[in-house]
Amino acid sequence: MHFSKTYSQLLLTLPPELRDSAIQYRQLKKIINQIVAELTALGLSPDVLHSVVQPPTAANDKGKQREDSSPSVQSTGPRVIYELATVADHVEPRLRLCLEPDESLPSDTAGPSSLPPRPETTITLPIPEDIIRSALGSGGGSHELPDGELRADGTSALPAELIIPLVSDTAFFRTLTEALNSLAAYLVTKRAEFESSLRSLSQDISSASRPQSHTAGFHPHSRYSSDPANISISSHTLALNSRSDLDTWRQIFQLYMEADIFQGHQERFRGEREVEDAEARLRTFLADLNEQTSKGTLKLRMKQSRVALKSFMELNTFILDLRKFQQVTAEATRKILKKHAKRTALPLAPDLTSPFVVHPDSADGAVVLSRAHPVRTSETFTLSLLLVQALTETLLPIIPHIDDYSCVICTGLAFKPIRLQCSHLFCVRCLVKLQKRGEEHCPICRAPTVLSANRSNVDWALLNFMKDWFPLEAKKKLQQNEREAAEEEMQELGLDVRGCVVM
Amino acid sequence: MSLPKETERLVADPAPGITASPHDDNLRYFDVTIQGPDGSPFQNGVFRLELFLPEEYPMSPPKVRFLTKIYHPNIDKLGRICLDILKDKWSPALQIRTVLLSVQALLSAPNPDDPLATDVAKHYKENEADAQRVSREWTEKYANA
Amino acid sequence: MAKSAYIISARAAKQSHASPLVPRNFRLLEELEKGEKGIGDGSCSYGLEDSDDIMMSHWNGTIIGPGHTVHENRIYSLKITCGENYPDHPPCVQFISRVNLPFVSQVDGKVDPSKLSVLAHWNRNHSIETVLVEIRREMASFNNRKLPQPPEGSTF
Repeated sequence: MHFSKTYSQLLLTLPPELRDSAIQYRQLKKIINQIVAELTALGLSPDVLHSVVQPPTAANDKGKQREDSSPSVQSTGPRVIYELATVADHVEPRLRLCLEPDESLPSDTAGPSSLPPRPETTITLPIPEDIIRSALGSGGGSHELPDGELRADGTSALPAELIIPLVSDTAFFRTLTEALNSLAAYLVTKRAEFESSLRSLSQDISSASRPQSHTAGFHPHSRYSSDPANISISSHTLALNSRSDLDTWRQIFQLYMEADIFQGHQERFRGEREVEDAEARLRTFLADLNEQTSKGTLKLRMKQSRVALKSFMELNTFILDLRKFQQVTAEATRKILKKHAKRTALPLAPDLTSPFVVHPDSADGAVVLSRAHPVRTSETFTLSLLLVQALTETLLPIIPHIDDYSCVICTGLAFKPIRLQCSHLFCVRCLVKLQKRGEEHCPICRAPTVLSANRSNVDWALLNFMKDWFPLEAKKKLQQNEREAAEEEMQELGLDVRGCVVM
Repeated sequence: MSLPKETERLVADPAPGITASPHDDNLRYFDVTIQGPDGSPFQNGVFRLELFLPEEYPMSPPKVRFLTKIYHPNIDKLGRICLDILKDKWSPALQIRTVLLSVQALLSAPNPDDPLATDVAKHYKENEADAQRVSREWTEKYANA
Repeated sequence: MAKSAYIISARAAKQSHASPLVPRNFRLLEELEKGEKGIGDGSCSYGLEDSDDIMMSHWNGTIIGPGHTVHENRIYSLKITCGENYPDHPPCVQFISRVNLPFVSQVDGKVDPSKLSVLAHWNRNHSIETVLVEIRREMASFNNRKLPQPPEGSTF
């Protein structure tokens, strides 16, 4: 299938707003035909060009044309050099014809911006046929051009060059860069829209996930006696606020993190995922959500939450669409430039800066030739990755995560929290176990702080915070602690009995 | 019975060059493989180990043993490992993952001054190059994946 | 310390359903370490037949005949083989030294598991040590203490 067809089909899977700002592949293809016609009219049909345009230097990888021909490789015979000069704000492709073999030519014909002043003349089209012939046919410097016709300065007979601006080719690059530029500008507005939706979503989730303390019964001070002899907490005070979806949002974010949709965080894979992978993961996440909702294990009580979840999914879908759009645009750009090179026999143009790449250090996103503005990959991000980061960095911290409040020994919520003198935190149950084993060193820093810990080491502020933000987890841990302590007591009792019998 | 959190993470996101999977009938018993670290005489070898979490874990260290024969001054003929964090330097803040990473590191940095296999340690101290040659030979012979 | 920890875990194994089953190899490593340290009064001992038997299947055992019996001052050698399913299944026990006991085959010295209670009623808490100790106890039992014995030092 032709790419132009594939391209338009791919675009149809995207939302119309993205589709409308896509680059016009068919139109560019037509312009390529015009370029060929123009070149042929100049006597530079693809066949002719193919034999005289200097091949790309050998050092080029993957066919990316960066430098024009190097004079040292071929120092005799006629040369035609294809240049993409930057004139004012646009790219102006032109051909430079060297009429004479030229040893004195400086070796850096590389960058159009760095061209040293040298004798040159721009002539009007069409080029007289004899000049083309003299440029292409003579070789070896036998042909003398009449004085004053092409030589700009009379002091030196050599070298002489022709510069031929290519009108259709200029139109081609103008169309392409304008398309990419307007796409870049469009993406800037989409990004702003995304960020503003994200801000309001963040507020909605915050107010739908209020902690326990956000009720009328809340006392700003501890509800518990600060008498160190009394740190018992009955588990019936640990309950969910019925007017909060705190736990549900915690579940949703947990599923979301596990789905690891756009970016891998594992040892095996880090970085941005392939579009197909991300799409499959987003689907799985949605399926998980739906399954848990229908099973009743995931319940959004508040209407506000349901609206927020919808918006959350929309933002994720937008990022995915953006990724797809980026991929298809990059493909279309690459293909059209390749087609341009193939049809015209002009060397492959350098890569264009992608409108999806964000330079944190430069505010304007104008599309430029990468040769003139080298892309420093270490400092650039794709827009989609930036949005993913904004999404996770804004939303996930709204709900405190249990991993940040867990005991490193039992990996459960560190409830009730005991803060050792060395500042390390453990749950009371694990601390008691350490003490019973006579272990005096902190498991994290090995400071001798375990045996001296007592009730005064309860971290009251954290205890209240955990009760507030992790009521279910705290209740579960408390029950587990009680069960374990009871079992342990029985074991100790059993051991004593056995000891009496055996000894 | 569901996998404990630690096992779940270990299986889902193992460290590079390390695999660990619990037995179906005993979730505290793991089949482990460790790749010989590059630049060590154990390079290109894949070593099989077994690991067991005793009831007191994490208050007590996991038990770990090589099943693949290995010529190493701190690993004996039965695959027992001399590593301080598996003994008196154990901390309940350590995890299976850290233990296996330490074992992998022990392959890169043998310590003949704290030997378990005394003959191997003597060999390593007297003629390290020759001892490493034997380690390489054993790796090729027994740890060929 | 090591011994009391052992008692605690054995104790716990009986009481709590959640307590983990120690897999064969780690169980045998425990037994090896215990055997290397020496058990009880030294009247029974055991060790690996071959010190680099990584699967720890083949063991040698020694029983010093109990006093005030026909076995007094005799030293009996045995082979103990722990199969793949040890300790869920009992080990195979075979006398190397000739001995006359009702549960020992007079052809090859093999112990008939159905005739020795510790093997017939095997459970996970039993070990190579308990097998040797039980056999020694059988030697001193009323029925067996005076059985006529083959010449000392002869083997199957």
